Amino acid sequence: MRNLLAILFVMLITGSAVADDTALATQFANLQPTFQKFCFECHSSEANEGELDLQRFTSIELVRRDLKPWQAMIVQLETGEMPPKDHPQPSAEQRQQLIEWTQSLLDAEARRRAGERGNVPLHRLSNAQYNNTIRDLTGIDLQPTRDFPDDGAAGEGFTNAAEVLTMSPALMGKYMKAAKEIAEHAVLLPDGFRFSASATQRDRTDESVAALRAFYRQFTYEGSLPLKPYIAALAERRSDLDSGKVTIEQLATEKQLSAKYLGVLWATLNDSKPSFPLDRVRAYWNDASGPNVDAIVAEASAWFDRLWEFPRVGSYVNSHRQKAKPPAIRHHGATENSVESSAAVWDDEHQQVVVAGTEAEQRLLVELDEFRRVFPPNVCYPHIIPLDEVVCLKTFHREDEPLRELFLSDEQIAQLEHLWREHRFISRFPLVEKEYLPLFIGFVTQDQPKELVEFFENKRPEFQRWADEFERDFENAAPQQLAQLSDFAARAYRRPLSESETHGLTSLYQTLRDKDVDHEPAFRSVLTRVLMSPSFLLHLEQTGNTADTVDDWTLASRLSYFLWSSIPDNELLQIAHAGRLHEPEILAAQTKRMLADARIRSLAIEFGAQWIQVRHFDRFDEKNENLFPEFDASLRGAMYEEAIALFEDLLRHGGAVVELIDADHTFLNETLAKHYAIDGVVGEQWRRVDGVKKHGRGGVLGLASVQSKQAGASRTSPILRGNWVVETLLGEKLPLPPPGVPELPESEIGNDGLTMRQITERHVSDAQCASCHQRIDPFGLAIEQFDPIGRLREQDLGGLPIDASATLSDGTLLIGIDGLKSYLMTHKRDTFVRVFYQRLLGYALGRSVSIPDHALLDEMMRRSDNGTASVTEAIIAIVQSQQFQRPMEGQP
Amino acid sequence: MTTHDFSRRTLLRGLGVSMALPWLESISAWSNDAASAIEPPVRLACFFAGNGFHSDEWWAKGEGEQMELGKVLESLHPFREKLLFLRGLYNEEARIGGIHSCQTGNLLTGAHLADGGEIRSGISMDQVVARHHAGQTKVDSLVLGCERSIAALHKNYSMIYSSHISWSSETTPTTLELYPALAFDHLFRDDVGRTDASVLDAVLEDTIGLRSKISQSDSRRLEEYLESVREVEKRINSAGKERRLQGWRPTLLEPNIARPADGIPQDIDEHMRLMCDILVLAFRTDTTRVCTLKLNNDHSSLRFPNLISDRGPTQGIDYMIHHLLSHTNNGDWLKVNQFFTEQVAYVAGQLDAIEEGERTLLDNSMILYLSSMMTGNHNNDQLPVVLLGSGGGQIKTGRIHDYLDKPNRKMCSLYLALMDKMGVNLKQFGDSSEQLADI
Repeated sequence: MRNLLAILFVMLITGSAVADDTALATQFANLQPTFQKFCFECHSSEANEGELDLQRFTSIELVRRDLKPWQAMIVQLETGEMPPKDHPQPSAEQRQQLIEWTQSLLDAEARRRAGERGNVPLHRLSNAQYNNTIRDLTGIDLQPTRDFPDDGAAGEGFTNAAEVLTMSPALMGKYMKAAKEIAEHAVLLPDGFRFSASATQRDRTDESVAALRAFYRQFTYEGSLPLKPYIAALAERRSDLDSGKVTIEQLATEKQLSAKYLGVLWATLNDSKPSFPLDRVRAYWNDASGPNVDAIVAEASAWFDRLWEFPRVGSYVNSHRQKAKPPAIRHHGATENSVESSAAVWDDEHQQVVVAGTEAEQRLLVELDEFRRVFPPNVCYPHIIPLDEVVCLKTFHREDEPLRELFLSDEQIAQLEHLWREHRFISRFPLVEKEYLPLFIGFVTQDQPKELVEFFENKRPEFQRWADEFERDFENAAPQQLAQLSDFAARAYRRPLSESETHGLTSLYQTLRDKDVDHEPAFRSVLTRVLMSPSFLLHLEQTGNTADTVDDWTLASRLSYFLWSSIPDNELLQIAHAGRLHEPEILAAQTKRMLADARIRSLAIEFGAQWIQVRHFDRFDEKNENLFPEFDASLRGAMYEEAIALFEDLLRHGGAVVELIDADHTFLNETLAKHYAIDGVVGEQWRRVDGVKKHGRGGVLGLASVQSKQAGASRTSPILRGNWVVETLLGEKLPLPPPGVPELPESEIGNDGLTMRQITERHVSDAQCASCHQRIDPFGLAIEQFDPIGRLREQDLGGLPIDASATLSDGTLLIGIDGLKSYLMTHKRDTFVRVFYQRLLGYALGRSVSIPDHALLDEMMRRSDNGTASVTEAIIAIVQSQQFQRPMEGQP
Repeated sequence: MTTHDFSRRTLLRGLGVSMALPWLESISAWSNDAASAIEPPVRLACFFAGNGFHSDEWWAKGEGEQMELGKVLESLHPFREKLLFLRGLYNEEARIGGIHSCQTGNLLTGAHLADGGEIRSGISMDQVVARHHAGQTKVDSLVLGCERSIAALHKNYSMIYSSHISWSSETTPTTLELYPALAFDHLFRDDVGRTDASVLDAVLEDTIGLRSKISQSDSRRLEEYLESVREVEKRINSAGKERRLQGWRPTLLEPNIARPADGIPQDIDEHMRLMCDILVLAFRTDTTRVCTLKLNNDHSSLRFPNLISDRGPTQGIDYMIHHLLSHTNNGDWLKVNQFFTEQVAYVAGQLDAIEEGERTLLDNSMILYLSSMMTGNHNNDQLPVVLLGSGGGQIKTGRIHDYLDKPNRKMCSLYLALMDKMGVNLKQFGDSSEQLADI
């Protein structure tokens, strides 16, 4: 359901439009002689001076179709620039009639055309959008546009404007190169694929080894049994465990230990069934003075060397680097029938004995195995890559039975198996080893016993089988990988794929396979194709255009590219899938959710920083290194971050628009705080700092980035700064400077004792220049207290005192940044808020704001509470507006 | 497909493609001309420096060996007999609209520029020539730059205009290459994978499949996409194939310099020098015959720490060109101007050292050196223009032509004449329908 009030509103304005029409047409006819007399001499179809033909507007209908010249005409008439001074002039009354008629026509058009989508031609992703999209699609921030040409700006001055985002062969070549590179980052897996920061198989294998190592490291350092923390935990909470006050699981969680091993140990230590070496450990557990943790660990460890041996691994000859060692049992005479339960039995000096072949010996062997099971010296081989042999056939060694048996939950075992399965896919070790085997045999025959050579010769069939199995598994994974590729394409295209599109992906794959291309390059090629598809690189909006809103998939894209400069996330896609995104409450809720998301940083940069002209400030190095050695990469980066943080905070927390002028807080780290001479900010982490007005900070005017950008390399420029205030904050369009602009010195030093203020004032004493500079310069002079790199100062670089007072053309006196801010907050509040809304709307739509948007801006202003309303409300008003939701005009 | 569909598509193709290439059918390519098969081809280059030149030091007097040049042009003195100094030319459309953007975005197009956040110029003359001879060399044209383009609006015009002199369509500035290594790769490296052609076929299929699903207003941009994919495909298909060289052969077949390092060089002089070397190499190997090199933007913010400032021996000229330098018209500004001219002189010197048959490669070229305004304060009632080389003996050089008082002093008339010498005979270009006299 659309908003009922909105419908009524539309009906009302449509009704009045009819009345408007008749009156305007009559007036237009009456004005014809005036046009004839004063305009057509130059602006006839014949003369067409300045590419302006007013004669062709023979009816009001034709006027409506091309309003631009009429908008320009109002300005020309009002400022008296037209007709030119040396031509016949209309009377004041005639001039007024022309202005009034044109204005009423424009007003009527604004009502009649309110909410039009306007001219947003099909356009590609901007560089920022492409980078973010790839980041969110692959999970890796690959920044593929690093060496792309920069995007230009259009519309309201942003690089996301549809107008500039065109395609060219050179750019397509770059997109192709990028797509191929991104496809190289795909990692093929048994159950699909993912992306990795690495683009080579070697790096991906390293990554996979690292993942396995990280898994093992959760449980053990260097693979050894981590006995002590377990024993200590059990000892500490023994009575609680006994009484049932705490369970093994709770204790494991509390101490971050394996519940499984904790349980095994608990059972073992408390078991009363006699078992030879275990009883020695239990003796310390059951010590009268309480469990002796160190003694338990020492006793258990003392048995490691007696019960185990550690062959060198790496080849296939030894499958384990930790093997049970046959115990050094000394056999006695045939009659002896007992085992001395003593450690000394294993000690050469105090040999104790069992009778060979007796039940006692069998029992001893079983008991030793029981001990081995609970106390293995190592639980796994965590290095994965065998390190201990010079030449090694085995590329990766897996040995983790004790870990699985004693430590891992079923879920963890599944996870570990999964990692190894993936590792096999990524490293392809069965293929690698099969290929290496003949070389290895050739190598070992040089100085090894014949048996060893034979051993490996006999392994050939087995290696072949492993390799064949691998190839088969690799091929068998293809359907699932391709299925996942279709899902990937759907996310990339921001909508479900049509059947023929899905088919197109598999058919390309098949075509390539038929040309003897292997699975993997064929798969990467299909991925490349997706990344070069117009459905991916362009903001394509397929739509049945009879509706007055686009479909939900398109709406989701418009929303996410507006707020995140990236693809919709899963939640947004799900809502679009359910067809509910266009419902006003849901759209508003999603907008709020997205504003609170970290990805809103893109809006802070692409809209906020770009609006105040500091985007990419981190690479702005146009300062004199001799005068400002401190203006280094770290300071520039900090200045830029402050600007981003200011907008990010405003958007995430729904601040008031006027905060951008009047905030008493900003965002600082130690580097920037030092630059600002604000004490008490320690460390490079970013934080909100309140009470900064007294330091000249807060809002966009307090940003060092802004003050630096609007200054020269060696001096300030009150003109640049003033112009920035007038054009950026107040949205005024200044006429062009006349030719023959006089010279200015380039430094603040050595100007015959003149300050930049005096030089600037002299510069504009020319009457021709003065009319504009009176509008510009006072704003810049009021902030002369900021030096060329945005620090507050008392005197300029030449040592002359700063005077930060300025008188506006209406006589208002401004002193310093505080004076400028309070002037803006009182006299120019509405102007500033409206300019902000206009730029934001232009950014959201990717085009210039024009006549059909006036009603929306008026409505946003009505709801803005003098700029104190949350920016969130303005954003919601935009995304719920007709211009944001309507499809492009024109039939398919 | 319905007949309605068919006619609509035909119409769209008409709009998107043939409108951009009205001359294709009517003009025969020079390679079909028997004489040109043995003659070295004519090359066309355009060096652009934004923001004009020092007001007192852009001048020339005398003729031939006796010609004297102002300080801005000093480094071209060795080539005085091979250059034309053109005085009084101007571009009418560049005098409408704003400064900077509107003086540059149509410098080589002569077209009216759209304002108010829209982008529209015309096809620039270098691209007209490149399209006309498309496919005759490995790369149709080379479009280089030494300064990033500006992303902002200025006086209601997109600064995309002030960052681009070459336009491949009315709405699309030709993509600028800033990276020497990538420019080198574009000319000489073919990174073609086995599956690339199949991938591009599939992308073409996708694109064509979308035609019927988008609105009419979007179709132009989709056709632009299609054309771009086709161009890449063409390039891939021709990669690795032996060039058919009949008659004339370039004096160098493979690059004789190493691929430049990745990235943009930190020092501006190194950056410019690399771009100049690539231009020379491209012409010498006949890898392309058309090149524009934008040394800086109009409204540039380049700095020159490599040049020694009048302010002191330890100081570079490290203040940005505009507004802090070009408006001052001082000694430092002159040095920057001279630095730009030295790039042109360097290229001229390199080209002049390469013998191609009876002439040098410089003789076989036409190298235009120009700016968007006469001096640093936006005046463009006339433009600074120098032309080096004789276009293979077609132009009588070593002279000064003054057009100031002549009825036809349009830049577009100059372009008509230059294009004619490149084998492109147009009746009309930009705002002119008559070639400039005496060229």
